[in-house]
Amino acid sequence: MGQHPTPPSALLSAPARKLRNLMFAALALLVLLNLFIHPHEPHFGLDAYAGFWAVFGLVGAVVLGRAAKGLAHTVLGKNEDFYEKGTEDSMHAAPAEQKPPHHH
Amino acid sequence: MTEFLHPSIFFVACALAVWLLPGRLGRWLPPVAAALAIASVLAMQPGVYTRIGYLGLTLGLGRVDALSTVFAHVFAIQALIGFIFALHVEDRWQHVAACMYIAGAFGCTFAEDYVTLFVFWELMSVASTFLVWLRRMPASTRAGIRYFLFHILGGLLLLAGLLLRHQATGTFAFEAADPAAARFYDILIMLGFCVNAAVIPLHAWLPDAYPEATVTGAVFMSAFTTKTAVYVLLRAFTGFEILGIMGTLMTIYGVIYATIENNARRILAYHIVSQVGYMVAGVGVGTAMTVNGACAHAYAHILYKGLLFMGAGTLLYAAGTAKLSDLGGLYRRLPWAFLWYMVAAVSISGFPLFSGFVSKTMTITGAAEAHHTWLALGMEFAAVGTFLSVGIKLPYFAWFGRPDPGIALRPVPRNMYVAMGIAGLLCFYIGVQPGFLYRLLPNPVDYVPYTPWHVLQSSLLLGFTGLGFYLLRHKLVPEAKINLDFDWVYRMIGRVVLALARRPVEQIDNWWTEFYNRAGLRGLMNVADGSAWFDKRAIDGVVDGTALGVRRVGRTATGVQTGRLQDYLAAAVVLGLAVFAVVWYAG
Repeated sequence: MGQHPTPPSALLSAPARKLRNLMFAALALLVLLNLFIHPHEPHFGLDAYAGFWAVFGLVGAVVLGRAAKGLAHTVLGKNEDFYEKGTEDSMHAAPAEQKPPHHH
Repeated sequence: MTEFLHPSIFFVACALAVWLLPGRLGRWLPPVAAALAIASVLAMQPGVYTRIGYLGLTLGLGRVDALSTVFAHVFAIQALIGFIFALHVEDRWQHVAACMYIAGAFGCTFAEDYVTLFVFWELMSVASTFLVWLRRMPASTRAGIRYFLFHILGGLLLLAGLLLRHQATGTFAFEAADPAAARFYDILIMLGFCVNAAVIPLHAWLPDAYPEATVTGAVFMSAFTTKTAVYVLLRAFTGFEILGIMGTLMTIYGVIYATIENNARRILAYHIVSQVGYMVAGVGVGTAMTVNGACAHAYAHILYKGLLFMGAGTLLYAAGTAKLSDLGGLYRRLPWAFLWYMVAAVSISGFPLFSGFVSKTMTITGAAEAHHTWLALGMEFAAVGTFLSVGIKLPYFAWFGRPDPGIALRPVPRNMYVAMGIAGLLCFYIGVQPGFLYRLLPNPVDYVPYTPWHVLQSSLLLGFTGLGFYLLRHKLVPEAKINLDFDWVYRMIGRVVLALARRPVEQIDNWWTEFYNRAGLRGLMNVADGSAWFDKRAIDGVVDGTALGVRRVGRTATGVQTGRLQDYLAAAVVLGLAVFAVVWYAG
């Protein structure tokens, strides 16, 4: 994973780069608007500040993605035949424990 | 009686007709039954109808009020969409099972007492199990058995609760329980409901079975089982604070798994857990606004989740797999499936102009205004995860992601696209005309979704979630793996119990063999043979090799000589009825 010889942005075609920059501009515009449009009533201190929900969305997505993938790569992830092996093998032996998958 | 025609009647009649009519004629009937159901729901006036006496007991089959109407409304619409999506299916038993399943859902919705509710509740369990089995694949057979066992557990909890409750209060009336004075029997009933609402950790059946169901069966199942459970929770357990906490945990739990799963239909199944979490949380917070939010979200959710399952089902139908690790780059060859999937994806993510925006924000705002700040924040976090997993990850890796691997695609029947189009347009219509939905809600609506702040807040949240995906896009590549869940715990419990029970059961079996050899119960044996023949012929007639498959699996699973799971299940049902009868006459 993540073994890209060239940086991903270099792989983008010219129109794709343009679209990406347009998206970045739109995000900046949203934060700018947040300076003028405020919550009806902030429910806890921080959400009164401009950009709170931008940070919440970005940090939330990164934390969730990292944490979920981390769980999948350590305790949760198993080979697809994990349960089938358990039923077809002898019923009395515990199913063979799988090694956690390696990704590096 | 003129004001109320029970919608279940249409579906039961339709199931019979599809069964009896020769050839392919039958499959045109279910959409007609659904259209009649829509008409009957629109014509209903609030009131109490169709009370029948049975064993000295009054069963109420027709309680029509604002709460039952909003659910019946969307059930009828989704039945029509689902049957249009399934129009090409030639296997009549799939139509019969779907009709009986929907009849069960309507029966629960209008039930006035717990006995009626229980009967229709069990009908739903049995019929939906067939929607899994009728895919006729070994994995579906096994998943269907686990699904059915789990729902038997839920049904027994409900049955125990309603009988104890009757003993204590003398009534079967299906009314609200008092959160301040919950009794043991209330907890049992609530646990029974929570099995069907897929409240963690009782949710394991859902992501296990839905990905194994038929393409069209999963569309029906995504709409009715969990939402019927939300309805009965609203009816009986509004304001139980534990549900607020469990619901919020569900919203987050579901998106964690949706982020790492590989099978598109399993991603969507985990995401049902997350979405139903919003509704369960709304029930638990229990203010007028969050109850409205739960109803509105159930309504919107049924339409867009059905559409998501149609989109993923179309991938499975056309490409033969729903695994993201095998798909990619299909936007050129399946553009309509992509378009309608994206309509559902932006709806579920809560984009302004689409249905999720007018329902989800209502529940979250309601929780915040009731000073449940942590619950509201948890739900906002889950909204981030929703867009990340179902809104971007799934479509990105299915339709873009990498060059088209060149899988041969089966042509997609036009009716599937028609059904997706109807659902997609409804998602958009509710998003721009929220008044249509708000008028149906049980409490007066004091919430305006389209304020500059709500629109900006959603845009910020979703826009920057998108940025998060952009940064992580190489980390989130789907992998051909499965992920352990509470499912694993239940399977281990099952194995341990079987290992412990094996010896005593074998012993009893030996004694019994000895006993009838000596007593010469030949006549009884003949009867048993007759019933076994009927079982084999009748059941196999319904699902071809499936019954035999079930037996094979049953034998492997139990590892005992007499291990026929079907027989055990039948025995369990008979035993349950006998217990019921004894309690009934003794009480």
